[in-house]
Amino acid sequence: MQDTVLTMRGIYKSFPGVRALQNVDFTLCEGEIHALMGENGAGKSTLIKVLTGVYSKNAGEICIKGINKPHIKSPQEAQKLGISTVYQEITLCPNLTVAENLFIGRTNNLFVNWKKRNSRAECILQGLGIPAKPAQQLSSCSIAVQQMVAIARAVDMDCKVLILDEPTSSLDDQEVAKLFALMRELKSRGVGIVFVTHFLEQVYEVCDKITVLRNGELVGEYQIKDLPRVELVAKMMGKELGDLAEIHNKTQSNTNDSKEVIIETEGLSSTSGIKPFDFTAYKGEVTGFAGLLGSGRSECVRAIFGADKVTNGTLRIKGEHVNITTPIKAMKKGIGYLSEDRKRDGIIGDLSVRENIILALQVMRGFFKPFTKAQAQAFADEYISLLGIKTASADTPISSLSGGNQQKVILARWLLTHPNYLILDEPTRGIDIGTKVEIQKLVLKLASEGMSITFISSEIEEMLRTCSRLIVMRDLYVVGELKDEDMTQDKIMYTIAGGETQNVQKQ
Amino acid sequence: MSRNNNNLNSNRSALVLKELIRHRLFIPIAFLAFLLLINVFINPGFLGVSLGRDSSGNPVLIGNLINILNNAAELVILAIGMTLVTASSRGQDISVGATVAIAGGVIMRVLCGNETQPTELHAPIIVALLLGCLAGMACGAFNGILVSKFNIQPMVATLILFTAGRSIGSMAMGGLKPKAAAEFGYYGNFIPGFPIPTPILITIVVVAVTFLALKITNLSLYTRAVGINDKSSSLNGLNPALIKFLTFVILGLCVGIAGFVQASRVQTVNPYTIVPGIEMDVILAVALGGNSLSGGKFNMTGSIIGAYTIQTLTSMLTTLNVNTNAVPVFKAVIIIMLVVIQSPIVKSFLGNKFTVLKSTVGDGKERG
Amino acid sequence: MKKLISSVLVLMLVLGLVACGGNSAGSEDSEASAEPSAITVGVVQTNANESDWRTANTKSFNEAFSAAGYETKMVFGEGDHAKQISQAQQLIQEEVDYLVVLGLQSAGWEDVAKSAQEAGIPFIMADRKLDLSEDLYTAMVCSDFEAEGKKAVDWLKAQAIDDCKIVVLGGDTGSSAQLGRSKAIEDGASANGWDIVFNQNMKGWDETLAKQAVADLIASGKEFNVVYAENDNMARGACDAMDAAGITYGKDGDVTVIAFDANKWALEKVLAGEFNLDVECNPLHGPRIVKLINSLEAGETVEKNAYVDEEMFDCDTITQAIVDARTY
Repeated sequence: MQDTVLTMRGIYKSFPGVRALQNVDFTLCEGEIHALMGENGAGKSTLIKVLTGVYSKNAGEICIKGINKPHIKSPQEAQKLGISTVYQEITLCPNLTVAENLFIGRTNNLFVNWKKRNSRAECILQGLGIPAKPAQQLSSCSIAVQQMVAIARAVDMDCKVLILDEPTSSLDDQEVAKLFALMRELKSRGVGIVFVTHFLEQVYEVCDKITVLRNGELVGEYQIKDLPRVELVAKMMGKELGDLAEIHNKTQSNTNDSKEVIIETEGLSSTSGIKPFDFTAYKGEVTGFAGLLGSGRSECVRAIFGADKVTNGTLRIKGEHVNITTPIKAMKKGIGYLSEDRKRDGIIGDLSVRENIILALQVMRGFFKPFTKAQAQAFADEYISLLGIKTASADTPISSLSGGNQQKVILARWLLTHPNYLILDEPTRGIDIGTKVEIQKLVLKLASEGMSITFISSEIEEMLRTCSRLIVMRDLYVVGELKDEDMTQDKIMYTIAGGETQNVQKQ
Repeated sequence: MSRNNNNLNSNRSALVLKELIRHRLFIPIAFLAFLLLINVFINPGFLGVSLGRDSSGNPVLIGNLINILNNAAELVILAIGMTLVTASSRGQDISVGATVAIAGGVIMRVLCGNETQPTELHAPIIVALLLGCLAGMACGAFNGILVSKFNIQPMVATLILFTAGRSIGSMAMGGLKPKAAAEFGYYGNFIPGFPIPTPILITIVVVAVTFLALKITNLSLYTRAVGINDKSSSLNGLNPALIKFLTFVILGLCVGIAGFVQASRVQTVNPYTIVPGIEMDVILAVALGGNSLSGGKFNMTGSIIGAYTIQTLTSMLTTLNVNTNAVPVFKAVIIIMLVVIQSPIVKSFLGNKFTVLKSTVGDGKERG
Repeated sequence: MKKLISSVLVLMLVLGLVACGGNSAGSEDSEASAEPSAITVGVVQTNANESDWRTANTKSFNEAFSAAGYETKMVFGEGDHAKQISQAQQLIQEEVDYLVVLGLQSAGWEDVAKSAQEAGIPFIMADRKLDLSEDLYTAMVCSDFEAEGKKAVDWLKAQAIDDCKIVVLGGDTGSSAQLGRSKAIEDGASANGWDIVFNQNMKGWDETLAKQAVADLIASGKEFNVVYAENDNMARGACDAMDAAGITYGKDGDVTVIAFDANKWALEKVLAGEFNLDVECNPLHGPRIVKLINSLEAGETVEKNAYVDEEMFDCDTITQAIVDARTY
């Protein structure tokens, strides 16, 4: 048995009106990767913030190896005690070099020998196998490398406890693999790692133990081998996995011939670099774009929506040739687009939930025709209850909602415009399983009511469950189209790996 | 988010107090009231308004309060435009003083032609007003294009007119320093027979039109959306560049009106000295109103209160006959006080001080 | 990066504008080279269109210099003290024969004067006296602002007003005109037991600010019977404010108005009895400087500190002829 490095006992934390943590225990050993699991609102973030001194706890005690009941009042103090956190969003300075980022704010000396620093940085980076140069500007590194630099900084500060809060959300598989290699390296050095993620596969790939929280309470701590995936999901959701199994697109065996064509592209390409593609979406159908990160999935739908400048090709909506140059034109033609990056391209952070919901419809309606407050409130109330958005009120700024609820608000925004064709680009990224399931169900319901939907996700199982037809992409080319019995994980992998491009087929 | 209703009811009054203190307008209003109170303390007749007669025998209202409302006209009008520009472009227009000189110069040229002491106006006043507004809007459009199309930071973009504007104003006047006929003075002073200073009426109209425009158009929603997240906004069908441009043109319109009022006050314009340093006062008014100078959400009422606060301060320093050399220091100290009180740290401290219960309104922090 | 580039571009543009401003003076260079024997006089003027007074002042230089056959290089500071200093340095670099400076601010001219001395260029102060030790400048032809103020003080003393309560409306803080005129009234008040009820400087000698200040004083019930405005415009602003409050002023009024500069329109007001006194500040420096330069060229010694002749105009003694004779 390894030595424990961190023990939290009986932690209570409440916010006005909410019990965020109730009697939560958490134990972390040296050289262990410990997954902290739970749906949104389960208390993961709160527990981490209590540990790192962002919040002060109401009751309970924390022991860190060698120090009993330390007073952690700020992240700086936590850092001094050897607790470091790396967040999903990079908190380093992108305009500084890698070496500067490694050492900034860690010295009291006014004068710094940067040459020495750079060589020291070189050692650290090489030691951890991070592919970055000390003198490189941080912003020129990929997100994954930036994250690794953040980890390296933490490790170099003699951290005993490293908290990784959803570090893999914006990484592709290769990058995740590199990150895991780094985590294993740290594990072998005896660092205790707390790993927070939504990806079940990743938990089973890299973790040793799992602590599950639900509604602010501890469900239990488990060895990874003792807890099969299905059981984990069940524990997180507090119910059996039947829900997930239920969802399956019943329409997939239907043939498209009899159906009305909603969207039809021919040789469409845009300034984003995607190669000309042909695509057809039918009424009441859920289509999907599959492919690795950067394969051009989002770029295809962005071209349809007019979010990127179209350079070539034609677009027909219900057979009518249209020229879409801006999103507003697409919106007026009945297209909705829930964008990939919720924080950057979706929410309007400081605006209220109500304003976020009505925004798209309001813009379509026009500058001189604002909704009255009562109308807006009615729309907001309708969709808050329809989608079960958890918010204090419609006046609450959207930025203070959890990720899943933010996504539901954006979804409400587009549903409110009653589109004929709705594009959902990664609608389930970074949100809890419960909401994921709700969104998947909603997609199928909308399709059954006649809406044509394109659903894009990095999780192939999710696409298999919801889509009736998949467009597969690789390196900005459409390389295949799968439907019916061809829609299996293996087939998709095969197509991504070796399928022929649409253009090649044509020539 | 569920709340503990029992606690809430039993401590309602305390909650109301806390909500009041948390209200965005609380500090700006409280500070303005505080300044007025000091004035009353020093000069008990401060709030008094008396009906007097001017040298032509027309009835006029006289009083410090009237003076403050009167003299703040330009500041209030400019603060309205600046609030929108700040919200949409996340920056400030530092050229408003110089562009007021341009608008004022155009107005004087239209009214006086090439004469220096014309006995009658060369054009109807409404024409002068319209052309002045047009000149202001042209300046706004120039700034707006630099900011929205060329993506230049507002402060840098408006530096051009800040530097050149007053000379342009002088050129617009043909290098002359005319004084327009007395009837032009009605708009910056009194309309004979009507005792309320005209700038107060003009301010009321501008403020009313502003709030009406905010109500019957989506200016507010669009401006905030673009200021908070222009990427999201453009994916929701908005044209961020156009909206930023529009706010600069609106500020230009405000500049035109302010130039008109200012020129009318003494029926003459000295482009080099007209509204000296007003750009900083306007930006300060926006900040004092509780607005973030980095854009996004805005609070129009706050900016207007901020403008009156600054004018009250200016007036106070005059009536107290503070030593000239000490005036800037005095002003700075008071403004620092106000800005510090408004800082999030002090605000939350004050908020907590007044909290007597554990269960209060949730601030909806993300929890996961 | 994009932002940086655009910022740099704009900066260049702004600098370009400034440079253009400088060039307009230099464009007369070509004529100078055609006539190598002509004397070149560099003039650092304050503002191009500051006031009627300034316009007359500029015109006086241009007319007198061209009549004398000098080449004139005139630059304008446009309210920017630092700009004036760099303009002066530029003129020294261009090797003008004489440098005439009308400073926006009286302080901070030592380096310019030293550079001129090293380059062998006579440094002449005009209009406003600068804070320079005697060895640093060649000559000065200035208005003696303190003397102007003293004239007004002496006149006020002669009026024998009971219980003088004075409102002082000062000009731009730190300009020699403001310093001199304010000092005179402050000294005069303490010597004669007058009460200065208000003494603040108005940014930019601004008419509107003066008007608003006086309106504030009236509203707050401050009593005064003398307005000492350090230029004509501020006096006019003060009168506007008194008009609006129904306070009488001027020849038959309750408040005595003293103004400075004596522009033509202001003299008309004196004649009409609206201003009680206007003290002249003579803008016609051109001919005096020509005389000075001619003496220097002839190798004669010159009077180092010369003041221009200045009169004052009283509403009781002014005549239509005096007003008509005024050109500015």
